Amino acid sequence: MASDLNSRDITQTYKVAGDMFATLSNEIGKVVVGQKETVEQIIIAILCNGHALVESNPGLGKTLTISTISKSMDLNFSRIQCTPDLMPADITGTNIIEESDGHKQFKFEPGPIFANIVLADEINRASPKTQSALLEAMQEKQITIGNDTYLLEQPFFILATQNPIEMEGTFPLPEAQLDRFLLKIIVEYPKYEEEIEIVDRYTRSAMPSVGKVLNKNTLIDLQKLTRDMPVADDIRNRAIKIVMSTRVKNEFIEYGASPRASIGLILAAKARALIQGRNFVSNEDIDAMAYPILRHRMILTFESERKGVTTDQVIRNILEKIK
Amino acid sequence: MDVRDFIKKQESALKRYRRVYKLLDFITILIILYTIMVVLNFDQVFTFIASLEVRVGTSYEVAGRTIPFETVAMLLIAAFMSLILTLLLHIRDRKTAAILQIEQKYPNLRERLRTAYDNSNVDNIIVSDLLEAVSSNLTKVRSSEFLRKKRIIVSIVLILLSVSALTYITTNNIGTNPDWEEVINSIPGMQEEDNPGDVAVIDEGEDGQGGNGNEDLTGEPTVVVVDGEEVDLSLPPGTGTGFNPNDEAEEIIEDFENSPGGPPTVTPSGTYSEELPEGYETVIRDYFEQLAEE
Repeated sequence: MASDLNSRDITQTYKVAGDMFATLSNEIGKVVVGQKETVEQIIIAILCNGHALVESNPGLGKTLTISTISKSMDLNFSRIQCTPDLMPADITGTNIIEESDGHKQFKFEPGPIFANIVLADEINRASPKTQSALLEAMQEKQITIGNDTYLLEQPFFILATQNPIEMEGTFPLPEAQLDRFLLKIIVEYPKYEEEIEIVDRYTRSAMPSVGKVLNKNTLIDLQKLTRDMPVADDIRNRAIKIVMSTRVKNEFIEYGASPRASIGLILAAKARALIQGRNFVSNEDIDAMAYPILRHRMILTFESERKGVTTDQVIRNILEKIK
Repeated sequence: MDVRDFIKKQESALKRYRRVYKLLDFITILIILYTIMVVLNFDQVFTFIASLEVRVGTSYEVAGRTIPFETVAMLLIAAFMSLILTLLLHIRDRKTAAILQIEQKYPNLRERLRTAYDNSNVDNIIVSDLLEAVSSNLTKVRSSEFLRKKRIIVSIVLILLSVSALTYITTNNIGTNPDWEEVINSIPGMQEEDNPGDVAVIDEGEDGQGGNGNEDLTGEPTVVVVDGEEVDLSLPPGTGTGFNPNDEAEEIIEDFENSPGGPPTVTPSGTYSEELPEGYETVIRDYFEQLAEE
């Protein structure tokens, strides 16, 4: 019976998925001007049950975008402002002594990691020790404190931001941790018309607000639908060839992406197809998702850095070769 | 409609079409090659090939018609070459091109059809939705649409033109007469037929003589002892250097001189007459008599 209900729910969710994403996009658009690609990619990360690293220069609305997306979903949201003196316990929580009925006992006080969406703002400002505290949460979706392991509530995402220009007093994320982020999303400067809209919207007395359009169960259904999205064998094979070609050492590439990237690329392409209202994965989805999937998983050679070649240029080159 | 069954049917139809294209290509190339051979009088080549020379001039009876050996041989060579060229032309034909061709013809099925085909055994709501949509679109697909009529017409026109050209060439006896002997001699390995393998060919020097004559082919003098007496077995200079075929050619008298004509006379034929010395007749007779008695 429960299975039938679940089946009926998921069928219903699938039927209204297109409308749901359109509503979600409109709702987010009330607060966030432009940045459709960024918003779409963050939603893709959420649908894939993955984590996203958002990178941009200051003032481009990274934090605003993430908090707006969180608010539009009926999920627990917490924010961690990363600083060099932030301790792991500040994130995971700690045992505190509690006195009740004259008895003193330890009680676990959960940290901000115990939420559905965790915004780790300026993650590269946290010390490596604190950054590594996020590793277990990101991969295993659980936290171990002392001898006790606490499962995190599903869905669980870490949406982290970092600033690429202020490198002083920062701790660049290690490769192992970068690989755990499904997507690395680059936020671009807004266009002229978009900036006019931003100025107009944020200089009025009434500040824009966003309503909740997605609840937890619907989101879990959408995550299941994402995994159910069919993909053709040759499209899947092309995605794998794209990832594998990053491992071929050449003038530009020092280290390539892991098989985790292949999984991520297919999953992200599936989520994109669902958002776009399709019932199949297209090569277009693979091309679009190759950039945020691969850009933080490749290390370029010194020669390419000297020539000013970016990872996105290398990825574009690979995509053109593997048609 | 089951997507896999539909694709299977389309693939078998496309396979049939591909066979038709191959057959047409084969016939076209065969006729063109045969026409070229006729124009070049390729039948002369067989007279220069030792193994085929003996068959030149013979003919075969096929369905009450006499077909010369040269025609059969040229047709066989043209067919072989046509087969190779046809295979080369079609070597890149995709075996399972049905999905690709349908997707190209029907853009609304692009990427959807292959996804539906690859996931037809998966059971979930999205795949069911996709299969349903694709199946309804497939009802409009006709396999006859994938028959490349233009290509078939071009092939048939080419065949007709080639046949016309061949008929015109054979009836008007048009053709060039290339020096096939020279062509065959220029082919490496074909000259060897003139030089049988069991004859040692001496590598001639610039002066046309075998070697420079200074080689020490005999080596150290060999001495054997026979009955206490030393015998020198050294080979004389020039031994073992083979022979020059030109030496024999010099003996061949190529110019004949006409014998002077004379008045016709009666010449007695040369008859054999046994002239035994006198007195031997009785001896011989006695011999044969004794032989008969024994």
